Amino acid sequence: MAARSGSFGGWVGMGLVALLLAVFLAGPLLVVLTQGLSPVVLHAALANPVYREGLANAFLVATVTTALALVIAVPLAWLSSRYRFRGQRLLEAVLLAPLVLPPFVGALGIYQLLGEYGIVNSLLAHLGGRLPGPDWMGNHRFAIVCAVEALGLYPILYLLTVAAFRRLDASLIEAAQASGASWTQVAWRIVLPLARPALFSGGVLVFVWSFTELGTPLMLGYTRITPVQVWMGLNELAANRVPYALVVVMLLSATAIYLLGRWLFAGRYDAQIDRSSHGAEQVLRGGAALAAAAPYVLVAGLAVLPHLVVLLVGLTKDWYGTVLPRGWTWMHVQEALSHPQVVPGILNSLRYSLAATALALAIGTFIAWVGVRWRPWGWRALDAAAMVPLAVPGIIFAFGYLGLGVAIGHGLDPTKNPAPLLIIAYSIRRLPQVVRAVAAGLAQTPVVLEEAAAVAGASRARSLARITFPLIGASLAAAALLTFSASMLEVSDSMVLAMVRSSWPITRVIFDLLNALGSGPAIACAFAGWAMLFLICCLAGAAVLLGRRLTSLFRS
Amino acid sequence: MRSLILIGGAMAGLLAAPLALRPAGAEHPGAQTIVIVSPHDLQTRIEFNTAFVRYAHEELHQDVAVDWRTPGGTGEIQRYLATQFHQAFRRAHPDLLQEGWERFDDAGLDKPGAQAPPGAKAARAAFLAADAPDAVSSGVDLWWGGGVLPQARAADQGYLVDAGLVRAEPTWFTPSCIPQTLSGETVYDPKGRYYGAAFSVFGIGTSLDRVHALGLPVPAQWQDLGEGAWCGTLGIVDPTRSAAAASAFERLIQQQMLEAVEALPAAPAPTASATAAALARGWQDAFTLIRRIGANARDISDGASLSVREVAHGDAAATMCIDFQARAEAEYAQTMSGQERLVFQAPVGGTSVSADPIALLRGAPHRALAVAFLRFVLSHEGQRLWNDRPGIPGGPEHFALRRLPVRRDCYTAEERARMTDPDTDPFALAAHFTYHAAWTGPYYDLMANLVRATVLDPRDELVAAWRAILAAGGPARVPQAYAAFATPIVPYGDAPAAKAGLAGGTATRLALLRAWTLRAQAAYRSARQLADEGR
Repeated sequence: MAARSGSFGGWVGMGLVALLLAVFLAGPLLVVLTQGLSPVVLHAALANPVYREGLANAFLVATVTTALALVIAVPLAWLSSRYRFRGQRLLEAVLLAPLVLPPFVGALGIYQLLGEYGIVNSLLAHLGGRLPGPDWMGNHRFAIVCAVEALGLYPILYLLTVAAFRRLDASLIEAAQASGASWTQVAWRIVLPLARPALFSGGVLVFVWSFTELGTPLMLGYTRITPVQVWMGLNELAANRVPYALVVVMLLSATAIYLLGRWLFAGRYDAQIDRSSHGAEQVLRGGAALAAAAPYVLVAGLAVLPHLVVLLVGLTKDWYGTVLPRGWTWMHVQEALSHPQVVPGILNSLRYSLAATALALAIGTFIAWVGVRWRPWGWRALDAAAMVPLAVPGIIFAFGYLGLGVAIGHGLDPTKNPAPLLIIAYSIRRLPQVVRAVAAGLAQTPVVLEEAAAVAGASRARSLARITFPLIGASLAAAALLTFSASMLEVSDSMVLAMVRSSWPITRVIFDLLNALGSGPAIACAFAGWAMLFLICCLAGAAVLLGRRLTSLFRS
Repeated sequence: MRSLILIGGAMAGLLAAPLALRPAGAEHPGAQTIVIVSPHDLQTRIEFNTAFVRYAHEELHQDVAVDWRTPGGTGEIQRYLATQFHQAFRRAHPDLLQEGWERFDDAGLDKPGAQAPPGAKAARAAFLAADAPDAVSSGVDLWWGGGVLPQARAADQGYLVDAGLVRAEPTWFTPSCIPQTLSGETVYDPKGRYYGAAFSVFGIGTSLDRVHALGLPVPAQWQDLGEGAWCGTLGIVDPTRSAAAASAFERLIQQQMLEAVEALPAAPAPTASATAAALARGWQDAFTLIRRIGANARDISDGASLSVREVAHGDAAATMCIDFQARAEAEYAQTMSGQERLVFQAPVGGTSVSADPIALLRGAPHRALAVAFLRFVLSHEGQRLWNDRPGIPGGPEHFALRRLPVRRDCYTAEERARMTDPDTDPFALAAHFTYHAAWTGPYYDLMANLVRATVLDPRDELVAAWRAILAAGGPARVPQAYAAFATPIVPYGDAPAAKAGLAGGTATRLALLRAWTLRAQAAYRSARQLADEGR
């Protein structure tokens, strides 16, 4: 990699980006800490049995979710890394759908699926049961929250584990099998121990994300859990700082879990992994291929089912006590898209997402360029800082931004105009993906072309504009589309920061519609269906532009 | 490239659809905006928004827009406004932030001889002295919806100010149009600080399919919901988050107190102490009934509308709610499926007719326009939006709001012909119940918090105790267990002290609530054990 000395402009850029990250990355975390890290407030939070129970539930949800996600992801990862069969690529892509489908929207479908007169009970009634069937939501809400979260988060573990399994030295497994080890012995004694770093880092991510997930428990009415309690405390922040204390507890817990993971597993098993040799992939046909495809179909089906149900509810006249909808209608779609709340919501989201995309691209491209092409003093710190949003849960950041905005005031006070803060929050959240995508693009572009341009007398700006950007155009476009689509349906920041009604983005409007009497939920589903179709278009665009590199953007 | 064009086309189509379907003339650039904080549902907001924008354009020759703030239920709105006023006071009076300034909104300071640090009194005087956007302002113009008691409290705190309508429209505020009280409840504040804008009736929404499946009759009285047969099937709403729930619980408590008083021998006339004892008994019976209802619940909702929806979907068998919420869900189910799934029953003798008020806030940034909105809501034209069938000229455009106007002149035969609920007469229903504001009015906050701290927060223990009692054959078979289940946490005689404790600052308040929860938990654990032992 060429280390071209940085110009004055480069250093100015470094300074600006560093300042921006200090204010909008470290700032929110500092605000949360200063507001909540007081013994009195922490005591008030932890002495209350209801908040203690909320924390205990958050830990339990995270534990069960992580365990479930492991159970789902590891066998699939093993199949993907060892076997090939027709249609597998498509199934693998569908398996990653939860990465982009908001669990927030899926939760809408859960009520239809698991209600007393919902789809599952109607199916059971067909099979000889009776309606109303079991009260799933009433008696098993905890389990449902865990299952929905696990079905939303397993792809992170799956991606990391597939990569780890593919790196395994096949000769180790062959040797074990030759020595008479059974399939389970190979799995427990060789494969899983060697893949442990990947399992652990993925597990930690899933644990922390589910520990702090707001959308799913909120939508499923599971309110005795810290993130929801924090959200409900928003309106009384001036008089009661307990929510900040709860956020601090979440932040400290997340940090502790990361540190524990690092300390336990950092680099311990790398020595045993042979990076050069890949395990041979076995090609399956006929019945074996069908058997191998079944778990993919099952998991992907379960993960996508709630979203599918949401799409259908938006088109349904009545769906009560039957497996399939009774009658179809465009009414909800029409009502949703002509709704006085909806168009401003879409326009707001478009505005915020476009601005956030531009901002994230500008900052992210610069950081990627610094890391790949320039590498001055401090580039590693900059690169690491850009990855922080991957690890810090949305609700913690959102809360920090709220405090920061109120403290800075002027144009950033979200109680007056949430737009600037929302744009910044959206863009900072997506920074890791942008940096990774652009860095990958830059790394694959031969630097000699830029050097040749420089030798021929082109200025750096000219060589960037005429050579570098056109060459990494696909990466830039894909990063832009991903940032844009994720911002369009972002939950945490939207719920916390959009404090003025006229500035509500799509997710906040959906939440409000859901609470409306009568047709509210159907309109919410129709609108959510529209939003998902839009999202799918964005991602299809990104996939066409990036090809198979798309999934690499989700790897951290 | 072809696939990219296809995808781009699809995206453009998706974006074009809502823009094409967008209602025309929804926004006027440069319109003056009023800010309204409200727990009202979307349909209500939409219809009044549309009608007022048109009215302002035609009658006031002004382009206006409404910025609706909806932080949640009434509990949230109260907290939101308190926060806004505290921040505003801090900004407006940096020189007055002496010890006790936080009590600038403490109505207790207005009583002659009230003890308080000088800082508190100076802050209170400064707060009440000014009503201008650049003095202490919440940034909100109007507070609409959520019940009379929360607004009466806010009025006493000084958050609300006289909008001047009682003087400006003397013909409206007469017994033949808008009475000052109905069934003992205030309809509008004689000082003009809040005005009932619609009537609400509290009652029970029931899923017909669920009651048939359970083999139970449709519950007609609050007591019915406390029967063990409903265990695990009811919806219940957190009264600290929903004024509808708080008011419904209050009606339930009032009914129990009234029955206890009526049970006293009529002659000789009961002494004051006998009446007081009866009231205390009624209060206690009411809280025991609320515990039984809470123990029968399948889950806790944050809003009454969510709970009603659970009933409409058959997920919950019944819930306490407001008439219009149940009617809206029932109408939707009927329209879409042709089936009657949900019925609303007002417990005769157990519910009053209450006004849902609207009020002008101190320091309203757009005062003149806000008063115009208030006047429009109370005008005959505005009142017609509540119950006229949608699509009729002068009625709502899209949605049947199915709420009850406060003006008597909206209930003539001619008017009824246009209504979605022509047979409902709040003035007749009000005759069956008299609300005794003095009994529970001062304890509105206390009741809601008591329900939350002793029924909702320790729900696991409560449900376990109740199930153990039912498993043992019911309260009569295990009297000791039932007595433990019904352990008073705050008896009626202690209510004034408990009320003062709740108002004594965040730390005291949280400590008090925690103590109640812990005591309730202990009582329920003991009840469960006694029931398991068959005692």
